[in-house]
Amino acid sequence: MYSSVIVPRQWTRFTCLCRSLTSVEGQKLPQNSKSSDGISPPPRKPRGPTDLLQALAATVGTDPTAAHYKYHDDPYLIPLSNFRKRSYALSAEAGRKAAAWIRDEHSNLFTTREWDPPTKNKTPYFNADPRIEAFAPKPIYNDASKVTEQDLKYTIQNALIDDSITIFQLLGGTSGVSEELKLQLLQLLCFYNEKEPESMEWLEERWFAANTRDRQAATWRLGGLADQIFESMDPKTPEAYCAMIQGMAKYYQAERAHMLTMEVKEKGIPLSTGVYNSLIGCVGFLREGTTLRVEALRSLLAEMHEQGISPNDETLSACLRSLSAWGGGKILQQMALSIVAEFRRLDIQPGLAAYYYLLCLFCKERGPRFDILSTIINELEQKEHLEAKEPADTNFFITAMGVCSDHLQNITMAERLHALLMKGDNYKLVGDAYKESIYYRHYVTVACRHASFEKTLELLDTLVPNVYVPEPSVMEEIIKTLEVGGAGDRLAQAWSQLVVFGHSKRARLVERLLDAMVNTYPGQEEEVKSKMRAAAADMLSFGQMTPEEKEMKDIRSPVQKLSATAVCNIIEMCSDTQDKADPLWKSVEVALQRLRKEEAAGVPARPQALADVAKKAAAVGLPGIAATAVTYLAECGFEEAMAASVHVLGTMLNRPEQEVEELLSQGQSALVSSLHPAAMAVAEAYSLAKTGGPIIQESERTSSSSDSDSDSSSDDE
Amino acid sequence: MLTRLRFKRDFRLIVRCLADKPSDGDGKIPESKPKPAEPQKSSDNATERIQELLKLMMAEPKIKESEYKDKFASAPVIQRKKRSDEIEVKTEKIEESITKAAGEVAQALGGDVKQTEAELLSRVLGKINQTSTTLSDLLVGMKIDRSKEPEERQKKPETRGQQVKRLTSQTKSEAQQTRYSQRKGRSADGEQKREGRDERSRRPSPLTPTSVTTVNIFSGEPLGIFRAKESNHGTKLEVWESLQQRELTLATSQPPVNYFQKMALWTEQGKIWKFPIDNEQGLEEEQNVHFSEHIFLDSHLEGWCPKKGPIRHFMELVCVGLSKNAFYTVKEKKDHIMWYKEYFESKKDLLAEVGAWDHQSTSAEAKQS
Repeated sequence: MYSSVIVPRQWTRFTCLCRSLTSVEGQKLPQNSKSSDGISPPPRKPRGPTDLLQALAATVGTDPTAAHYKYHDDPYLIPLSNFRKRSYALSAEAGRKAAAWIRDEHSNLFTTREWDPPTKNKTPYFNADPRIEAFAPKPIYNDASKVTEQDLKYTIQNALIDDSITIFQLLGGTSGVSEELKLQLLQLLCFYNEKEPESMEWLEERWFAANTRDRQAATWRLGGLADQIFESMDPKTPEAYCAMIQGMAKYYQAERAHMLTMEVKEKGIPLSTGVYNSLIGCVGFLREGTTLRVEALRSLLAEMHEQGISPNDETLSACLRSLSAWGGGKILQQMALSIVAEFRRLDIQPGLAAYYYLLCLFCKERGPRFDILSTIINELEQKEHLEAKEPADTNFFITAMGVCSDHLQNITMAERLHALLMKGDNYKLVGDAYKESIYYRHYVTVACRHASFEKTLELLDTLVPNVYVPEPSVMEEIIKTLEVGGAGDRLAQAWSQLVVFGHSKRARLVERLLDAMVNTYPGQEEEVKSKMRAAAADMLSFGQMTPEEKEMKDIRSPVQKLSATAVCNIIEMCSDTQDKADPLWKSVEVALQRLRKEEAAGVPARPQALADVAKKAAAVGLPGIAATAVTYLAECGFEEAMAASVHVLGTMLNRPEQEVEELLSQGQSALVSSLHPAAMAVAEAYSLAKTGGPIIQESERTSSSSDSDSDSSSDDE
Repeated sequence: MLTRLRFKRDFRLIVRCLADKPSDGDGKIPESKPKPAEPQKSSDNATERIQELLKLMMAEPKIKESEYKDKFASAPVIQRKKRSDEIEVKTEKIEESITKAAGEVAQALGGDVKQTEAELLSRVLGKINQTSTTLSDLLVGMKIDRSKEPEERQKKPETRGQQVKRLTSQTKSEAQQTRYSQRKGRSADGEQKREGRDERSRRPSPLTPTSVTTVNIFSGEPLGIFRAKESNHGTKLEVWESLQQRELTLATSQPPVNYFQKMALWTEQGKIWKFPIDNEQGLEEEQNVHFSEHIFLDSHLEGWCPKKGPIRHFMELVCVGLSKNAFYTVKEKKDHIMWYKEYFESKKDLLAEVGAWDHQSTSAEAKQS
């Protein structure tokens, strides 16, 4: 009885299993199948080869506290300064390039069967089937190689200009190549102006090559191969004309491009949007003065319309590019707005490049401040994702952040912009390493100046050091912020950051940091204070290592000396201890020696601090340090020296100050016998301070003598 | 020894006096040799004194010059200064000869002799003063410079104490003020700190709220040139467009940030299998060939191979072997079989003699089929 019930149940389960198997394996289930049990599998979706990978990649969030993926190979050598980041990434790339070079140079090792018996000829053979094009040796073309039109096609498709020119010459120049290939080659030559472009393969190289902006000058190669090919084409096709005009206009050979256009129009050959776009891009080279140029631009657009050619979004950005290149001013700005409105009517929305040119046009360094960025950000925030349409799009974010920082000085705008960049895969629009760095420079600067302290700290914690390493100027800004925020432990940390980022030899920055540390020092907790003291002592020893290294290695560039004020700051912080045995007193002593040997530039700005240190040292029971400090003050001719020396001597001899003054007013010779050498040094400092600045020889002598033999100076009087 | 010491003390005193007036142009000269300008020292302002000196020079350059040299001869000798003095004398000589030459030229030219000479000299010496031609007039300005320079140079080896005084007296007061005031503000309670911060953040942008003009970029008046109609982009350049695309991908490409992206990049470069994995990827040649053609190769034996016998046996084994070969294409397999066909046919006579090749049977077979 039960079995009869069980069997059908089993049966449905079986059919279900079969169906799922077929759908998994063959994926050939008819799409409209509506099965009896109400289960309808979804139709198959066609997927590209990288769709799966991209979906997986999207699940991996970015971890700003980790180094970039490319540096993961060696966790012991994770780079933290800009210089190292650059050199590590490029070294890896250099290794790949070396491998590719070997492969290309010794291509026979990879394309023949080495294991064939010696009697047989080595046959061309690829060890992989299917053959992997990316791993195959790249063909090297020279005068001896036999080439076909196929090779020419290959080189044109891969944008190998130099090779294609070689092959073209080998094939017999203008007479030996078919018209179609000639046209293709002409386009390639015109596009790159016969210069080899960057390779697609070496990503790191492109990322770190600080692309200089293309020069706005006529760089078109006159009478080059492109001209020759164009001349040789007998029935000159519209394509040839278009390629030629676009090439000339792209490299700012404006007049010739214009002449050729006139010729083409007379012949009644149809032009293209691309041609007009490029002509618009160089129309400013034909005229002088804003009004004439605007007029020329207007007439060019009208001509475009007459010819029945419709504009596209590149037309818009070409117009704005020209306008932004002609300077600023009311007329150009009005014109730009009209053009944007005109294209909006045609349902052509400005792209990132267009916005970039608008920003250039409106937000000048000097001049009235315009806020067009808020409209732009509003517009962009509505979009699902930003699409790159032309290479100039990568300029948008860096310029917009620059406007936020310098022009508008608005942190909320900067935060919105940054959120926009972080959305989806918009980050690809940041451009290259150079642009990225400038972008973050602006962002951090504006955050330091205008954001709340907590927010700034949060931002710094995310960005530094893995995403962005601050440049010295930004570091100064950060130190300033930390100083105002009173974050003592952060300042102590900033010193180690300076060392890691390779800024520690910039005396100005270190001085700035020391200033900030001294200013924030008094209000800190004891733990933080000790950290700051340690940092200060470290700065001193870091600076001191250099002269020894200099002797050993013969460093060429002179090492900048810390200023006396900075050294004084170190002394002030290090001396903040009541313990006589504290090793920091050692640092104080070293710093004082450096001051006396004139290894620091200038003089202390606050001698009172040194005087206090002298008193403190005397109180703690370190007469040597106190004497050195006072002597230094006296040598420098500070008025504080007198009071300080009296006070110090009073502490040393344990007597009231009046008594000490009386003592000092006696002849020095009387003192020599009765006083401890350190006390004697103080007394001498007093007399030095009293009589005024020492003469040259004297100062030389005292500065060269250490305080241990200072009693020998008594023969002076 | 004693005199030296006293001298030193004197010196110190004087130096101290001088240090009180840091911009005093005289330096230490008065102490080494009493100078005619000494009484003027009491005048309150150093610049005034210099101006007076200048006037003196302008009035009677001859006297000034001799005095100037006199002073130099007895001044504390410093090697460098002496050298510069020599150069000056030399240049003066050159200038004299130039003046002389210019005068002669002007004479030769005739006309307004003085004017010509002045013009010539102004050309050479770069003087604007065109009417006066006497050398001393032309050189007056230079002399003033010179008289100032050595004084400054003498000042240089001043003691550290003086340096300090000079440096700090200018900056100390204000610098300290600001620092102390800052400090006061900081050491006070947190509210003041906030205030200070706000002040600071406001400082670089004093105009922020008022002067920014918000411009709506879509507020412009359309030009009215284009009218919307069906799009016509004219001649198309295929290579050009593909290159534009290439530049765009280059501009937006970034080093991969995780392994999946790296794999995606490699897939795009054609270095690894495409997902989902298909082990026939890249074997486009055999894409449309049915597997049976790979396996059932006997059909290629029809027509030439004997029906039975050792050759048939051998060829069947060849077919089995080939059917299991995964690396040959169908065409290669066929070629392989055809190679045996030609081989056996070339050896036909011998094979017939041996009896391995039944000529008649095959021909009959061929006829039947």
